[in-house]
Amino acid sequence: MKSLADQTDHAALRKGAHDDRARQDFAFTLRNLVTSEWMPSTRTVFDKRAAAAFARETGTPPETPRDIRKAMDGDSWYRFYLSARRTSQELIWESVVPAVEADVPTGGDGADLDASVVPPRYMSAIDIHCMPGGYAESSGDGDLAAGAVYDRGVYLYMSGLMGPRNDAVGALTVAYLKAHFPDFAPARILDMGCGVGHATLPYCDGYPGAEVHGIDVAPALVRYADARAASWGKAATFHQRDAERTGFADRSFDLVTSHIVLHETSTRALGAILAESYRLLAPGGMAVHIDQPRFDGADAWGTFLQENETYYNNEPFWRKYRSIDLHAAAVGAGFAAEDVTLDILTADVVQQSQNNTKLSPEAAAKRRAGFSILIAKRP
Amino acid sequence: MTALPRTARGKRPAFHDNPSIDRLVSIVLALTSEVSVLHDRLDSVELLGAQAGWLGDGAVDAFVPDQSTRERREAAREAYLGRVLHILKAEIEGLERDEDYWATIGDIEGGAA
Repeated sequence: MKSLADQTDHAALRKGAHDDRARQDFAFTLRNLVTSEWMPSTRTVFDKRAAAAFARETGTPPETPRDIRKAMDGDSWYRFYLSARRTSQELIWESVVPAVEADVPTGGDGADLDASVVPPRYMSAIDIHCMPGGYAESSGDGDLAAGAVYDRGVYLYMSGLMGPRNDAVGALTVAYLKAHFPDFAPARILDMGCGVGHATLPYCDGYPGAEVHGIDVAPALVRYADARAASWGKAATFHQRDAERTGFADRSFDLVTSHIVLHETSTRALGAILAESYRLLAPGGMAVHIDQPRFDGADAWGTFLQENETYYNNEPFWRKYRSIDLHAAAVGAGFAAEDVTLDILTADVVQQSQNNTKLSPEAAAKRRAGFSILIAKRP
Repeated sequence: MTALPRTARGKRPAFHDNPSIDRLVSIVLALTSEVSVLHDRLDSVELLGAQAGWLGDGAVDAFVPDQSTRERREAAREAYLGRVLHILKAEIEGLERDEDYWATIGDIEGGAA
């Protein structure tokens, strides 16, 4: 699954020169081959060969995700797939970094930076998604490079399905809120872990009267977010702040959001971020956190495949995150149980990020494959 | 020029018993990327040459493909990868057919039709 709609230009985006773009196009094609063709083929390997080999060796068929991993780890086609998949990921960054390096964007002076904000260990110890340098890479004041690397990399990584403005997840969430809470009219909105503002800007369009703020610990991402928003004439304010302790006043926001952020934190940070969401909400306000869904305990194969993100794609918290009961976590953070609901958001971009099997649109809808949306209200 | 990091922190996993195979996969795919780049480059030169009848300085670098060219190139790259990486698909097709080479030999040697 892919979309060839070109990434929309803005003042800070760097696609590079002819050969940079050709290299990026190749990374795009290879990534889509690996995720859309080879990943589903791993199931054939399992059914036709690896499961039987495991059963011969152990006397029982593979049943748990751990069994499946053991069975598949012994298969040479699967191992080749894994190493090619890893390399396809690395080629994305290798195609993007030189383009940024050659022409580092400037600007972002409207961002509210705070050099005392220290990137947490879950971000600084391992470069998430194998992005060299990670989100928090910064050579100092005025550096936007990590934002430019990330913006282009996400577009390629998601096979264009994040949309020309990489905003599919934010747009999907705004549409969900409009459909389910048509009377909800937040005056102040906070997007936590906003990165370069991919999911933040749809709120400017969805709630034109609202004051929209985005926070992230990574200074280059925050600066880049400001430059990107300004280039498109979107009025959002970006701050370098930690979602665990934002420094904003109690009850100062009507809507607190995060988009595919929580799984990149840690067990401890998750609770702290949800508690901070509660603290920040004004009466009648809502916290809305979107991320990958909890593992389906009955789906051993899907769990095995998804856990590969932790094993092989520098996603240190992904596996643990997807076993966590978010409803209980929100209640633990201060929300009343009856004010917390979980639902599913479905879209192509979601299936691409979970593509463990080829599904027809009907089958996907039936399976309710999608992002998990946590809605926690403060009465 | 700013020097950005080229290698991600986080120990790279080993996928094969022989680490050289991991290296080989990285090298082959990087090389495959370069061939794709060359292909696209040549395509640009041909396009521009045909359109303008001459090739100005920097014309290729300044060239940004339009949507139909992007779509055509994407299809060409998919076909190209299909050829270079055919061996992987062939193995899956063999599994799907439940091929067992020596069982077939046994059948034939044993006198089956």
